[in-house]
Amino acid sequence: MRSKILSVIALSTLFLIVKCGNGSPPDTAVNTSTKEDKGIGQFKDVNLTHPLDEGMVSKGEGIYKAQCFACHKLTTEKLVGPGWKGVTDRRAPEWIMNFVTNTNVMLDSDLVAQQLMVICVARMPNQNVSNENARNVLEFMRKNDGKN
Amino acid sequence: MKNKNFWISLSLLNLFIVTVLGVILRSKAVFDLPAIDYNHLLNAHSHFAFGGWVTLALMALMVNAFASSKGGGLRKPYPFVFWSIFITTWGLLFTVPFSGYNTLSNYISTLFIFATYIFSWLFIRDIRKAKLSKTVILLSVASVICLVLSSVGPFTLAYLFATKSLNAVLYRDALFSYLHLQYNGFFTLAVFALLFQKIESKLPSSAQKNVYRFSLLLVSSILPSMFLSYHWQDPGILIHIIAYSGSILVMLSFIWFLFVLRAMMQLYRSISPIIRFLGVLSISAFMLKTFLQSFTIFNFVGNLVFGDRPVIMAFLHLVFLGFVTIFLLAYFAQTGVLNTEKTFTRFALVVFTLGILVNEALLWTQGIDAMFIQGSDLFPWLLWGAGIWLFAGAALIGIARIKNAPGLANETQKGKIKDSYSSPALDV
Repeated sequence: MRSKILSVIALSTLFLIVKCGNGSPPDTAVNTSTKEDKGIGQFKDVNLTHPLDEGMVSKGEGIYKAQCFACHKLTTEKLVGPGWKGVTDRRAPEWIMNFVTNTNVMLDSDLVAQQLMVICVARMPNQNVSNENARNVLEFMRKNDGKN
Repeated sequence: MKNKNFWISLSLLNLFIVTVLGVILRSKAVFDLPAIDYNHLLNAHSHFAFGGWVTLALMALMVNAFASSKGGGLRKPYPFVFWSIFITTWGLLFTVPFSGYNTLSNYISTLFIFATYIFSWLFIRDIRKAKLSKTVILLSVASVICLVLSSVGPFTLAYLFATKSLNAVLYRDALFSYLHLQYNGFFTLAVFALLFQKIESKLPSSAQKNVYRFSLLLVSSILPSMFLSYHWQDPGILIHIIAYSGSILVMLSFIWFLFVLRAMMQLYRSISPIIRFLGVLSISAFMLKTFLQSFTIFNFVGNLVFGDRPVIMAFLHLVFLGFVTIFLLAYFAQTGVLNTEKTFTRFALVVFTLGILVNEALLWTQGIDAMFIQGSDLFPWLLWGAGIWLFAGAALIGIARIKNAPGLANETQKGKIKDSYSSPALDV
């Protein structure tokens, strides 16, 4: 008897509390953002070199294996965060470097970064990557995307 | 429920499911599994580990040890609560991996939280009538209060997700407060309540005083040390002061624990080797956890730790597997839920425990490597192997429990739990 009363109390309170409906997140900005979007941070104009600087690629790969790959795969598959394949086609180099070095500000203010966070249900912590290493990581991403 | 160890058996089944989810998560890092959403599955893994395994096991043990009726069985409303816990955790297991947090899983999760409220209310009502030492009452009541307080975390997160405002500070604070109140509050205090209830009366009275002082320090450290999670974001001076006092209280409880430990060493000889092995590991994990926790007061440690995912994983698994899970297994072994007179059971326990050690070693190595910007391709594969190891260990423990179950039914009918401190048969 007592347990019945308890369950009725629990259920009725619940109906009062749970009333939030989660629709799917509007991901328009993630898909339609152009490569002109440079994000927020100190990088306004990144010079890309052709062909790729293999020295930077291998340094970037080292950073990736140490600090990134617990959450990011090199394919298109999402792990904790998005997979890196194609990232240099989707985003401007400036956006990538600003995001890597200025993570918290970007996640608080940049629309695309925020929507990625909602899709991933996870907030990327600041990785304290230096400017130089952020550039190395970008070079490694370009290599991963088959750029030359 | 006639057999009060029924819930322990279900919790062991759930531990096995947790390791299955763990293997799938680790597989996702090394294979292409696009159908699986990692973060949804991760949430399911942690929900199930918290609710299905540790919460259910701790609640069942606490009721068995502190609040069971005179006949030794469960009092009336507890089976209802345990069924609610079991069904809601399985409900989350079948919703969260596929859809993440949606209306249905939020609803089930809220039901789960209400079941913990009902448990806490019943437990505090009953424990006042139980004949227990003030140490055990202090620890177990504080433990369930932490359990109730921790629910503020999920409600805050649900609000944040519902409003789609992933406010950085609030998101992290809600998450870390929840983890803190569960790990350092509910789990840790319940573990010590269960431990001291078993051993306190066997200690000399001077040691009993130290046990009480340690418990008092531990309980009083919980709320201030919660501010260690906020402190590193550089908030106001008040938060800093509370965080510092929390760190000092944690350190003091660590020092007092050494006195308790010295007294406990006297009991060391009277327990069987396998339980010694588990006990030493669990207590070492607790001491390491306490030590590390008080050190997050230093900003550079906080900064290193909070952005380094492998280190966070290593710390979470240190507490969850190293301290709490190994303690629970030792408790099961000591009380005969797992029959360690059988070689197979001892084998199962050793396999699982070594899996925990390997998993910890890998995660710490990976995490410390990341601090020095080093890394290796091998880690995802090694971690995958460790996941399978833990899975195999949990399966063996489940089999050991199934093999042992009939003998136990007889024991519980007599209304007695075997306490093998006085049983020389366990000494091999």
